[in-house]
Amino acid sequence: MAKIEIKKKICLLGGYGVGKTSLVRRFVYNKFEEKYLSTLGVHISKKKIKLRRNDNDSSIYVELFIWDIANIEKFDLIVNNYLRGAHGAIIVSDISRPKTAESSSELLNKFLKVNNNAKYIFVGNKIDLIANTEFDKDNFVSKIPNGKSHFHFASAKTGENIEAIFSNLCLQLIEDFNSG
Amino acid sequence: MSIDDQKSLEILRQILLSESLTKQKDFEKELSELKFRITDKDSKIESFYPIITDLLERKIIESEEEFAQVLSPIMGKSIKKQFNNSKDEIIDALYPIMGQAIKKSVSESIKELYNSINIKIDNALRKGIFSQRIKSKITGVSTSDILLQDSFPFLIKEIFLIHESTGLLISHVSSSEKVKSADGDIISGMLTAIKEFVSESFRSDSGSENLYEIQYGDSKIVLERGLYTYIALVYSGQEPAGFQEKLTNLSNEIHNDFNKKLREFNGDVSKLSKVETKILKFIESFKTVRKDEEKVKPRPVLLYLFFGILGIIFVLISFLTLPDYFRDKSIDKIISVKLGSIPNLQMEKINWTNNSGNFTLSGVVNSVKMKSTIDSVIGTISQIKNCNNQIGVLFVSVAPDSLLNNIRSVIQKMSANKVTCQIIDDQVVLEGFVDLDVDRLDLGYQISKIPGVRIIINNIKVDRVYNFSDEESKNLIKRIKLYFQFEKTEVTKTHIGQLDSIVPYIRRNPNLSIKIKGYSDNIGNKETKLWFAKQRASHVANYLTSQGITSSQFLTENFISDGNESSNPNNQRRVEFELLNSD
Repeated sequence: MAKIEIKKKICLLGGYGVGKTSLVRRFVYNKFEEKYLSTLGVHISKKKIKLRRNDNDSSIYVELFIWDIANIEKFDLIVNNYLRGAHGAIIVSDISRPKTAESSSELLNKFLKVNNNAKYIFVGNKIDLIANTEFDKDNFVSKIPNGKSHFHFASAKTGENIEAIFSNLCLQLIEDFNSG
Repeated sequence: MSIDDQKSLEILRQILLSESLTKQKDFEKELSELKFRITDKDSKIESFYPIITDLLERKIIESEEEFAQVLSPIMGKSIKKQFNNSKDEIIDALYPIMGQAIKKSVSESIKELYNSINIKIDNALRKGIFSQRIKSKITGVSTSDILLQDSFPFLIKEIFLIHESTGLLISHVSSSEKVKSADGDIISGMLTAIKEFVSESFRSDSGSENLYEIQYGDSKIVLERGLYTYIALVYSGQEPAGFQEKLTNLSNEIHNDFNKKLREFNGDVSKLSKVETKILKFIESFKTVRKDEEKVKPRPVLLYLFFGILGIIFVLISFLTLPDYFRDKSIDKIISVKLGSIPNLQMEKINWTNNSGNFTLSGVVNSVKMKSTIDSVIGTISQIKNCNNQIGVLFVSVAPDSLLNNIRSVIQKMSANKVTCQIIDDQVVLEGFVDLDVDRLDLGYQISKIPGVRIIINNIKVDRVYNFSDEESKNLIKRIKLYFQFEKTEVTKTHIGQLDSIVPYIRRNPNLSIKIKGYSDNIGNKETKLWFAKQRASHVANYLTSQGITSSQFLTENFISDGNESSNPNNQRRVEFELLNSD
């Protein structure tokens, strides 16, 4: 069985407090809260994911290098450089704060300006908060113009849907390999 | 309703509601107090004060990070403000703790640095300044640079080849597993982030600034940027000459050789696996032994001492034996050459041994004369102190009549008409007279060479009647040869007998000019030999002067024998005469 190993850089985008860091922590280390400080305004972590190719006969190992970038709202030159070369992005919003969904599109557009062929996925984090209350998911998603087809709800706190988000993005990232 | 009824109702109401009214008033009073507490700042503080600590504690436990995020900007500002307003007070307060801590830290660091430098310099100097100077001459690098390189040996620890835009690691090679960083991927990402951070954070008027170097501990990271990748090289020690240029060449080579793959890089590093070979080759070209990583082992003093003594003994033995060995070799060579020059001597039948300068000759020759010639030749070798000639003489058996005829033939040939010969018990006995002593010796010498002659009894006497005609005297002068012993120059009685035979003729012819030719053998130093030759000629000239011959009648000349006259050194050391004019 053929084995392919590739490396991909992805960026985590999202406003303050949407839970980007928690999302990475949950995905990479399977931890929710942990002290975290980045002097440079970026924290890089990696995780290897095994995916089966379309031919079902071989696997692709994707090593994701996840750049968790702080102060993304500023979008200054440093942040722009951090985004440079990224193959994909996860744009995170907080479902308890609808405004964060509205800014998701803006973040995506800025990201695509730097990496126009990159893949992306939207994540509505903190789904655990509305477990027992009424929440209009469609309404939330509708705040993101092109979000419908790429939107996932998740919870960094409970771990719900986290693996699926990253796997989904990875599948997009390896389209070339699958088609080949 | 009558008035009474109304009064009664009022009384009843008072009875029934008095308590409620009182309570209402109390409530109203409490309500107004509460309203006051809520609206009044001081009252609010007073109300929350007892529970504020509990409240904060609970909040911190529930969401520490959130709390910190909220408070940190305020606290940061507050602390900053406090620092600005009361710098001196804060410094005074912190000094007793921080001052001591800093002092200790600095002191420890300096001590560590001092020890480290001492060890490194010591290691470098152990190699010796002399060898470093030689190295400097050969390489063209200054001695101080070599000393620095030896003190702080250059070691490439690891090299990262990183994709420029993504920060993804393409290749990671280290000089040894021991120094290889555990997670090259994360390091690559962070290096890229740092690089980007620096380039944008420290922008100048001319644009963004590039990061070229990072230093940590005793190591450095140099960044060599290319179009699609950059190299991060981690090293310690002193950079050797041409290092930066080679690094740039490596980057250029990688870009040239893998241009298309780098341009189309999509995260599949397996396509660029061959880059590793190139980087490894680069590391190999700089590989040096890292001295400072070698633990300073205690010197094995006893072992050094043992080998030292062994060395001294070896040197002493060499000093004592080698000169003898080479001298013996040299003497052997001289003997071979000298004996080899004796005509008709069969060298393969001659052997000799050397025991501390005492030589023993063995083997066989076919005549006594040959044996004595060997003796003479050996006698001329100054390095031989004693020689025991045990060479045997294997005589050729010749019939006595035949032998006698051969001897007579020689006598006749030499015009020794007054000489007779007979053979008595294998001995050749010569009797009679010759004109000169030289004739007597010559005749004996010539007869000794005849095969079958073992012993010669030479009873020939010199007929001292020096009344030669002019013609005879001229022939005599041409024939006279005065032979000398080794390193002897004095005129002997034999010499005088020969010289006296020619003195009357020279005295009779004051216009006669004679050259006196002094000869030495050809063994040894040329100047010494010429000196001996000159002395011989000079002594002969002095004798002639003493016999009344004017010194203007002769001149002297000195020669070293070329060996053509005779291979026997005894015959080479001589004085001859040459008539320059016969009138």
